[in-house]
Amino acid sequence: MPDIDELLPLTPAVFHILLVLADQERHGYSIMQEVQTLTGGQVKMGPGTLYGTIKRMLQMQLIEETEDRPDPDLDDQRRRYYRLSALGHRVLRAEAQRLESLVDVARKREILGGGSVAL
Amino acid sequence: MIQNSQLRQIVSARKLYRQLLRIYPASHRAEYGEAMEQLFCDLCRDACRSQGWRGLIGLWPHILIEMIQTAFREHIDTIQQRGEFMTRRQWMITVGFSGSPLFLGLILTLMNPAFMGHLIAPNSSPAQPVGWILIVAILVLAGVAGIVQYRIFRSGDAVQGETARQRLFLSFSLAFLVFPAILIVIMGPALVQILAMK
Repeated sequence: MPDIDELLPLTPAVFHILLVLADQERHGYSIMQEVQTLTGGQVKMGPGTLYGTIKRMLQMQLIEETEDRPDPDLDDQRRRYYRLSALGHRVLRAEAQRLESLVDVARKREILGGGSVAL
Repeated sequence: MIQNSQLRQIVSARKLYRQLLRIYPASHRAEYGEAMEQLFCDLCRDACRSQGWRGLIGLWPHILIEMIQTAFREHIDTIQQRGEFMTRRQWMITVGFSGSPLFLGLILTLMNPAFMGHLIAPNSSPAQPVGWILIVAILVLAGVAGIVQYRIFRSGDAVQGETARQRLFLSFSLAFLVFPAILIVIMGPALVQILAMK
């Protein structure tokens, strides 16, 4: 089991994929759409970026592949679904805490508005 | 709602994308090629729904740039995962085998009095053509030697350990390193004289 600290900081692509998989398992197109929605269109992943990142995340055991099945909201093609692994959950939490600390520093230095963020 | 004409455009785009996927490593294509095609079709469908055929065309620049960037990374990852990436010793031998002829060429160039004379006194007669031909020939030799050596290390012989062929190339590499050093010792005084002409 790799040390979580060695995996941080995460690349934006990895972090966003972990984030959108936190609430439910999704297939590639759903992951791409959700990342785009969460970031207000600022992060757009193409097929190469998405599946290259998914491949590496599977190798790092951050995510797992589940049973292929069609998406009822789309066509009837079978799609590959992915979900967070236990390690992925821990890594996502660690990265979110790291980013939270940075935001707190930015607020204390009045770079961002608002008070301190409780850790 | 997607029209029939747009459907045909999406099908054509998918066929083209499938061909372009060949720039990825075969292992990556086997594992994720179909999923990438499927996602590409989804993107085409979305683009057609929002902007029609213009959206479909506008999709391609981003797709092409992303393919080049990610395919390059996948090739590097594949080489590293297979353990085919050369060890430091192998890199040193490759550089020595291909770099030594370059070094030899540099020494011979410096020893060419006409060439050196032209460098020191630009108004004098230009360097003899044979000097330039020699430099080009050595550059070509170095390039070919480097490619051959790299391909040998990429082959199974190199992975299985030192072989007779490796020892032969190692000997040539050392010879190319030692020979220029000997030339410098012997021709050093002449080189100093040339430089003193300035």
